Parts: sequence; structure tokens; C-alpha cells
Amino acid sequence: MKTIHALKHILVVEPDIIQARVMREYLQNESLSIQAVATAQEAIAAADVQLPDVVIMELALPAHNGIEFLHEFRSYAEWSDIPVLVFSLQHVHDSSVLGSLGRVSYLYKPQTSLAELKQQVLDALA
Amino acid sequence: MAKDGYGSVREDSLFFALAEDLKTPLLRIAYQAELDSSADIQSTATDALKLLDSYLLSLTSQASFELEPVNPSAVLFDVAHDLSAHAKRFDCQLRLHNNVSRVSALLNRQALLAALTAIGTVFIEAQSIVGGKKGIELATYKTEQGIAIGVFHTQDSAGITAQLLTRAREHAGTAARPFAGLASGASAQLFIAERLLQGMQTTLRVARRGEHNGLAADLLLSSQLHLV
Repeated sequence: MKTIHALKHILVVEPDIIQARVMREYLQNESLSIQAVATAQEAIAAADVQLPDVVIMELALPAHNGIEFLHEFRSYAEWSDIPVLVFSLQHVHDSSVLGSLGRVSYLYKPQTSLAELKQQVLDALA
Repeated sequence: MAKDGYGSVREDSLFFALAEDLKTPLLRIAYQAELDSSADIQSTATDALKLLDSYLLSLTSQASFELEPVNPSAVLFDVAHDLSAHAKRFDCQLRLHNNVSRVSALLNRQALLAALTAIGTVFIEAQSIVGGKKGIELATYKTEQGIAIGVFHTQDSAGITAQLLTRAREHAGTAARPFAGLASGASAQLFIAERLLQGMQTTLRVARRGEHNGLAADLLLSSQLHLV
């Protein structure tokens, strides 16, 4: 596994608080600081306060569709190049939906372990 | 109300919602187990998630799958990869027999993978209750009609006979355990596998290869595809 030297900030947008807690505990270390939020609105507010190096997000968000959130997120110039890992229970059958939204990778939760997620985060940071 | 042999449309809608809802608690278990380094619990939850996904995919099959030219041998390798950890956990040897390379059949790759993985899982777990050397074989082989793909086992005492399969089909939806001779959970896995195969215009049948019994599906080759 690659080592990241400077402290990197990961924003997790996950409405399920148990999954969010486990992700935070698994990913957090001396190189990664994790902030978990539950909604799209909170994610925008959090990114405004501290620029994330990577965003991990569920597509099924309360009140908002995750794709809508991504469109809004990308509409701000300073966030347009931030890597986003869509880590979701929802299947994305049409990859072109995400392909037009910049640096976005898709991981289907039931087929992705936390170890694989962490590796994807480190790859995105490298 | 429309029926496909396993349940009504309304029941399927309910079970669809149930299967989707069950994914979240299973994911929580899988992730917490990974955090706690509990490999057996993690893989148990992951296997249950696979079963749910296969079931959800089997519901899609009622509207029929999109079929495309697929190399069955390549799918067989993917099934072996998916089953390897499960086989190891149950001390079961996994073998591949591939006798039909360089052919294509009109299939849905995801559905075939899910169906064979489900059958393989059943056979691995069915043998866990008997002693002796355990093993399954994933095979593609030529038949008079074309080619067949299937899963076979080396333990007769854990076998599925034609009679057992026929009786289980008759009892599907009414008996709690249509495959009474097998480990619990087997009926769902095998019925899901069968429904997935039906979505590709084939079905599950009892088969025998040498000394090994198993379940297989006939895949009809398109001569046009064969030439390509």
C-alpha cells in the first residue's frame, strides 16, 4: 500500500451513520483525516470550510440525488478537479452518467471491501 | 396475477424491496467485521450480499436479459475466482475443466456468473457436512446439442439427483426446504440459479461427468458466432 506523507482530508458523504463511523475508523490514520457528513447540503458546507483532497460519496442521499449533488459540486471551479469516489449501494448501469462529471470512480459497495476502498483513496491521492 | 413458477408479481415486488433493504444491515456487518478483522463473519455477510444481488438479478430475468456473445470458458474462470475463498473456508478443492475454449454463446455474462457461483456455493456447503475429501469441479464440455457448462462434485452423499431436483421444483414455494437433503439455504440459491438460466433461454438439469454428479445448463451455440 502506498504511503501518503502530508495529512490529507477526506470528505465522506454517507447517510448511514453506522457505515460512516466504520469507514472513518478504518480509513483514519496519521496521514488521513476523515470528516463524515450525511447530506448533500452538509457536504457543500463542509467542503466550503475545508477543501477535501478526496470525496467519498453514496448516491442515495436524503432529499437529493447523488448525481444532482455531483453536478452542483463540480459547478464550483475550485472543486472541479477533486477526485470523487462514488461508493454506493446503487448500481450505475450507464457509466457515461458519471463520466461527464470529471474525476469520478464508481465502486459498488457489496463488491468492495474497506481495504479496496482505502487503496482507491490512496490511488486517487497519489 | 402473473406467475413465473416461483411467485406472483406482487410477491416479487415485496421481496425486491426486502432484498434491497437487507443490503444495508449486511453491509454494516461486513464492514464492522473487516474493521474487527473477523474474516469469517465478513465473508459470511459478503456471501449473503451476493445471494441478494443474484436474487435481484433473477427478477430482471423475468423481463429477459440482454444477451450478447460470451465465452463460457472466461466466465468459468471468473466463477472459480469468486468461489476460491469460499471453497478454501470449507476445505473444498476447486477444479476447472475447460474443454470448449474459443467458442461463444449468446448469454448474459453477469447472470451466468451469478448462476454458477450460486450452484458452486451450494455444492461447497453441501459437502461440508460429510467426511472425506471434498471437491467441486467447474466444467465446460461438448454435448450432442452444443456445449454445456456446469458444476460437479466428488461426494455422492452430498449429491443432487434428478429425482431430488424434480421433487424440489414441485415443492418450490410450498415447502420450507425443497432440497431437504442439502444444507439450509440451498433451495434459494438453486432456484435463483435456475431463474437466471431461464432468463437466458436455458435451464438447469442434473448431469453426470465421469464419476461426478452435478448440475449443468446446455448452451446452444450460434453457428454464426462460431464462425466469428
